[in-house]
Amino acid sequence: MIYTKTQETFKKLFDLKNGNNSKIVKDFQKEIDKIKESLDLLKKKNNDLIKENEETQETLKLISNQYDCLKELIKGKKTSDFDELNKQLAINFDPTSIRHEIDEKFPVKKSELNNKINTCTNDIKNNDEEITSLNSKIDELNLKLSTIIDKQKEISELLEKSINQDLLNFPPRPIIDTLLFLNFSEEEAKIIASNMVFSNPDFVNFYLAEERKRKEEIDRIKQEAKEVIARKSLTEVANDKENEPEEKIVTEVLEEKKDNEDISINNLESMVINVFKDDNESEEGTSDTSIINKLKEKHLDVNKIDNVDDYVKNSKTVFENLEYLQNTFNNGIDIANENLKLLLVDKLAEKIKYLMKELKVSKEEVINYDKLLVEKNAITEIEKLKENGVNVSAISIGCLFATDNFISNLKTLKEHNYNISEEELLKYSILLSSLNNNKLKKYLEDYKVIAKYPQGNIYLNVFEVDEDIVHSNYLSIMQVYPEFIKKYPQFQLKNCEDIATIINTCKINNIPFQDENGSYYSFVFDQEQFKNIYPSVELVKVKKEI
Amino acid sequence: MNDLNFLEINNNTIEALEKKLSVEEKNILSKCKKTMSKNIHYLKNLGIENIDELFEKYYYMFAIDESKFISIFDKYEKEDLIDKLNKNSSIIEFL
Repeated sequence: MIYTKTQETFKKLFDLKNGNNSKIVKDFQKEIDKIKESLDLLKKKNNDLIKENEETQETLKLISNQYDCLKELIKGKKTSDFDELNKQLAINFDPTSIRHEIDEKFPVKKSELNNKINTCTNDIKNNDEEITSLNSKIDELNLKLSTIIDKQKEISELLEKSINQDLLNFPPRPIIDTLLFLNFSEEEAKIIASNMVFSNPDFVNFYLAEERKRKEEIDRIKQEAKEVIARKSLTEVANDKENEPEEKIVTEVLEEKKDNEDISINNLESMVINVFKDDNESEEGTSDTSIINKLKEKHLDVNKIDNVDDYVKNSKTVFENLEYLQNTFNNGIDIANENLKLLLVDKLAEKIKYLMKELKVSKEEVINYDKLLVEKNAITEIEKLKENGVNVSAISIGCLFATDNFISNLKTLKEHNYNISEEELLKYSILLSSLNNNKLKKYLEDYKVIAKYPQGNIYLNVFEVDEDIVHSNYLSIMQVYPEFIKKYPQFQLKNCEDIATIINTCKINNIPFQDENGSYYSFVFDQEQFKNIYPSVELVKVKKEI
Repeated sequence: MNDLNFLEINNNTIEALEKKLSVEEKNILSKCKKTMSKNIHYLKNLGIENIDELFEKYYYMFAIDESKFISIFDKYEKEDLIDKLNKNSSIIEFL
């Protein structure tokens, strides 16, 4: 039916009365939800900062106390005061050097921690201000939203009165103002106001005709829905599950309508209409051109589509997924253009949500792995990992491309008594999913001592160093001082040859290289430092027995 | 190869790494390219100068999901972290 311009304005008003102008409400709600999301993130970030700040303050307090305590203990003491103890225990306790060292290092550390506390405190303050501002913004939007809803209700009541000719002598200005608030133009508002206050017969008749049409349409839809339900029973008998989701919606719609007659009939109506529209499309077939046009309407770059038949065949899924992407992602259209294939994947929304929830990652991070979403059943892969006791929130998405290998490698590590921590799991998850299991086994066999003294950790970097160098250097240090590996299983093995040389030299020259707690003096790791402290001592390399 | 050539990394580094990596390793890394690019970009923006060295030694860490990767570095004081990483790339594993 073709409407005149005035009738179009009337229709706009009736649609509003029937709850069809919800776009303005939806936009507000969307904006509020978006701000709430940012607010939650900010609150979380701020709580983390507060926690971090407390920890830093605690550390500063603790080291200040310990520094004061140690300083007091060694105050006025000389090395000679400990001659006998040093001699008897074969140690090298030197209060003067310790005093110098802590006096030099403590102020630097203190200032570093103070700076961190200051920065953190400022960040917390700024975040608090932003949280307050976001909360005010939400309050403001909620207020506006509730005013819009009130105004809609108000105009609907006025419309009812106008139809019943109860609005005579009502001033038009408040009606115009209310309509302007609800996004009507000045011209539209004036037309409606003058028609309403005088209960213009054209206006009233148009309204009554539209209402009648609407009721007839609803009756027709109800009838069609009943037919679909009847068809569903037949389909069930035929054991065909293909139409199940659509019919479920129809049933739900009707039940919902039955339960709540007050809710906007038009919304229900449009839902049912959509179901039928989809149904009809699939029955009658949809032309390539119409699909392409629909994609173009969604601003999709159709040139990127390799096989339009796939889209025609799966048009329902494509558009469902496209709508999901557009509603979920701010830049949904771009994502869809980049990953058009994604749109053909069933249950895309569920897949993405599941990955986000389990792996504790953002939507954007999941979307980076379009191949995973298209080619792999990511949900099955995650379930497999969970069954094998893997904390999936600590791994990277990329691991899902090789879960079997990842699980095999974790099992191998366990067999060698490596208990991989969550931190290590995150850092090495990609390495463990791509590293050949036989290669891992070989390394673990070759470097048994590390396995023997894991200290609850594993030093996987050994896999990344040239095998020959590792082997040779590792053996150097094993020959000269195997205990070193106990203390530093994580130390970079490619430096072992230098360390072995220093320890070897110390042993030959009777130079202590560990303190009373078994900690190594720093010169053990630094040849330059060693040469400065013992300039006359010549370094003696370990004679390799390989 | 050049499964890794999409990255903003020196060609020599990529070549050296590719010689070292197995087919399986290259295969997984090539699937994580968007994440790796973003993480390289993050460290470059942070002011890390020895990205090539870091990448050659610890390429697998660059495939950690962006938010988790950032959280590894985020907890340290920026200047201190940059200074330490620029001086000694191996501390990346202990962060």
